[in-house]
Amino acid sequence: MSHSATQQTVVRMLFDAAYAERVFSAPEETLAGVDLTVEERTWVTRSDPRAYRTDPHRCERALGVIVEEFPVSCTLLARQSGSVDELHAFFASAFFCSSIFAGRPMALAFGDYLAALAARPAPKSCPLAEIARVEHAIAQVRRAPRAPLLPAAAVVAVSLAPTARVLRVTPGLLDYYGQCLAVVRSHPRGAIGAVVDPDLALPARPPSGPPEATAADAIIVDFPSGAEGPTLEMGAPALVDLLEAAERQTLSREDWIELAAGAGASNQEALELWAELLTDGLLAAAPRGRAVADG
Amino acid sequence: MADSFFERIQRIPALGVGISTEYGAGETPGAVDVLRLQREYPDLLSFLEIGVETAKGLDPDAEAWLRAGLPTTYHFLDINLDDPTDFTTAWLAAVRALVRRIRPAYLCGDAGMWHFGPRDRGHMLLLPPILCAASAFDMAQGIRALRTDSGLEVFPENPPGHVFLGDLHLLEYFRIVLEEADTGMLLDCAHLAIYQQLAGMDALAGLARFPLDRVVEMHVAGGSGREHDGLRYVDDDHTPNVLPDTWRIFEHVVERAPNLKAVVFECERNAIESVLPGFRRLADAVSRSPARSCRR
Repeated sequence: MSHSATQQTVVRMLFDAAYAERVFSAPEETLAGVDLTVEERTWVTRSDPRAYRTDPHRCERALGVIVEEFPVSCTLLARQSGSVDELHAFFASAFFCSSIFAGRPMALAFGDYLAALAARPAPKSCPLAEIARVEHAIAQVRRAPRAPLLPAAAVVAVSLAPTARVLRVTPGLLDYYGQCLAVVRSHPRGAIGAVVDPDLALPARPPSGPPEATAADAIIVDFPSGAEGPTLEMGAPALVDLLEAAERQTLSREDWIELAAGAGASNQEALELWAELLTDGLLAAAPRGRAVADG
Repeated sequence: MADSFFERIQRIPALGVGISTEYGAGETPGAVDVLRLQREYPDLLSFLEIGVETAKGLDPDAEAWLRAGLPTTYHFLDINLDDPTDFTTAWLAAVRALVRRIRPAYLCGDAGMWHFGPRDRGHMLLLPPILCAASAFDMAQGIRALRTDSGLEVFPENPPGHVFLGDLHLLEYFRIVLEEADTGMLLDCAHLAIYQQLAGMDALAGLARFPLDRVVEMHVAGGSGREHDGLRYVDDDHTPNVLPDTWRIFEHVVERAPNLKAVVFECERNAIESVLPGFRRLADAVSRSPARSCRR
């Protein structure tokens, strides 16, 4: 299906003007990695370069959709870098190409892009990395396949549901995120207005260290069945330990009871929790159990 | 052996002149109230072409039309027909459910790239297919697959665009698609006019060799001339201002398409008064058409 590769190349050229220019100025080099026949390459390079620029708002519209899902991250990124250039640079990145050529949902590709940006050295006070993880997790659970709901008694093993994530964060991050979100969403021109508003006053972040140092808070990101969208809540430490174990590997009923016992739960309490979490959709039935590693 | 298109088309009802809509179009300030238009001008408007994204479903205007029991067609906005991986189980199930609600005369829609990558938020665009034989064969296969799954006819539409690549004229490309899929065509006259202008051809170029007996529906819409860096092109903005080349194509084909069933004026975001002249011209042309099947 190399006509698909031709089509995908057109899409990239429509979103990335610099790439389009390179296609026309240095086609051999620029199209080297693209699966096009000689004829298809000729179709691309003989097309009218101006025709790729007739819609100057294409990236802005796509960015508008991204900002809906990453409102606080985008605001923080624009604030940190002093412009929206890094947001627009997404469309020239390999991450965006993964949406065009490899079928990765654009929001998830943008989450990857943010993670890469947030991995750069930044002031300790900048919460971009953690907020980006939260909003990326929301985007992930929104798109996750929903596991079939089975009676707890019929389930022999479990794992963390695809529609759930557990995030370790610095203390107070969830409150801080909620405050920022309220400010961004109440901007008179909506979230996109907040992103481009250099005078927007965001709440001050409470002082704290990196999450690895304290690991005091854990956020459970969940998209319950029947809900309009994902929810965020603080997780109790014992519950978080169990969910993280179920995220690492499949847990049989015996594994679950053993782990819960470590947190002080009786067999009956462990099984009640097992049933409750399956009903709530935080756990999903898994094909079979595997012993949890000693310790 | 299954019936051919020319046998099947006899079972498709005549729909006459219709109007298009898509989710939320009626909320545009000053936009036409499609049901009011139909009630006040029943001689001008007889069916609604409902533009559907399965993720959005039906809006209140479409629901009201359905409650009135008036005819419809289902115009898809979210399937890349030439990509087998786009025919997901979930999408097909959603289409079947909507078909049960809408009970359309048939399915139709632009045969192009409705979204890049997966069917997801922000991925929507609409690009024409690569105009080559391989793409045409894949497109035909997708049409056959959707026809089989839905149990309804599937009529591809020539999409708009400003970048057309490939070694085939657009009409030759769709001739291959139609014959390989053994189906009919939704000929968008405005889109064809845009293509012909970009290709530097006369508006009617290629129509003499095109199987007009496979044209089942036509679209007419207004557009606006634009220029970018010296490139002159038409913006397919669906205003009531139908350009002369679009009328030329429409009036040429309407006189020569024996299996024409429906004509749509794509103007749903405009005021009623501004679209009436266009509807009158369409209705007049249809009434004089030799395609008696188009007249209700």
